[in-house]
Amino acid sequence: MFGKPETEMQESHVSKVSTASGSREQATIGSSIAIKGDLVGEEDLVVHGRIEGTVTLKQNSLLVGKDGHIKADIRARVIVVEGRVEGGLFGDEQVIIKKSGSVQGNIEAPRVALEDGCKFKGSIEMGVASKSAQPAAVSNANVGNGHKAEAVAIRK
Amino acid sequence: MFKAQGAARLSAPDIGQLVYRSPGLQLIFERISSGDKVNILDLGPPLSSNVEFFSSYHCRLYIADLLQSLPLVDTYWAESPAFSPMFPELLDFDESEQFDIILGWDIVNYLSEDSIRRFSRFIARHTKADALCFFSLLTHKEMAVQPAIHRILEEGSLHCEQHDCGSCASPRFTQSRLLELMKEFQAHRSFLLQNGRQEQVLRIR
Repeated sequence: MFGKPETEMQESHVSKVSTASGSREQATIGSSIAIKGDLVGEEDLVVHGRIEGTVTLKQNSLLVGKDGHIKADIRARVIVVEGRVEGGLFGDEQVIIKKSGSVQGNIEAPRVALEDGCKFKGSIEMGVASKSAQPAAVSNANVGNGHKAEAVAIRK
Repeated sequence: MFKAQGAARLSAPDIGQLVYRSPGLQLIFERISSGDKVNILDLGPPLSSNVEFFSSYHCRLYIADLLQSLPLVDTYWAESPAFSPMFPELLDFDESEQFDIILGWDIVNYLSEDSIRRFSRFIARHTKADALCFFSLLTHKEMAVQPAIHRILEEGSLHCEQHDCGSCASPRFTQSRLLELMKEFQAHRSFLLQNGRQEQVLRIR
């Protein structure tokens, strides 16, 4: 399932789960997992553990759960932060920082939504055509795009 | 020198909230609307409404959330008055960062005079020659213990939200006193509002 043996994780720690609709699959990094290195994937990902390095999910979504802590630049289609991120957020579609979220870093995305009460320190690039999303429209359902779970590669 | 402006309180259940026209902010928006990309420093907290508002402009918005860190400021200086790297630590943007617009909101009312001098020295290094800096001074004898939250409703219109957290003496800075403390800046325009706020739009000297 993973690229390099030294960072290979057990199936019990990184699991694929279906969302409530049953039509989407996503990988989950559990709260006891800590990863150092570059993480590349082609499926949606939920992080409850710690990641230090970079995270790239070009076509997919990333949810940083309330217990999640990522110290890395993140590139993904949609990025939702409920936990803590130290690093840049580059969203091809949207970046959302929920009320419980804490981000220190810069954001680049066509749409950016910060919920009141979140912690954010950094810059947001606003394009002429960009438009912020309404936080009310945000839910975990944003994570997961119907792609079949294939792999989450971790490169050391 | 000052222009009186109207202000309207909201209904009773919304005590602590105020909606008013802000001529100082209007000047800022005229600058933002000029078409050129502007680099904005917002010293206030991250607010969904403000991010949404600025998203329709060609700009880069840096949110510093300095007001949130204010309780630390006095504590730090009380313990170590000579501790100078405070603002570089709280506002840890790049040394080369230069802003066109600085939204300071209530901040100077909640800093000691020495802190204002240090703040002014630090922020002046990150201010472009033609930049505009917006501050709101409080002229009543008392002010809330915590700074207000300012939500931008539309161009030149603000929703000011004040939590019921007790009151303390207001420094009641005059424009001349503020400029003595912020000697790197000069007055561009100022407005005295009927709600007791005095809006200052400053430029670098």
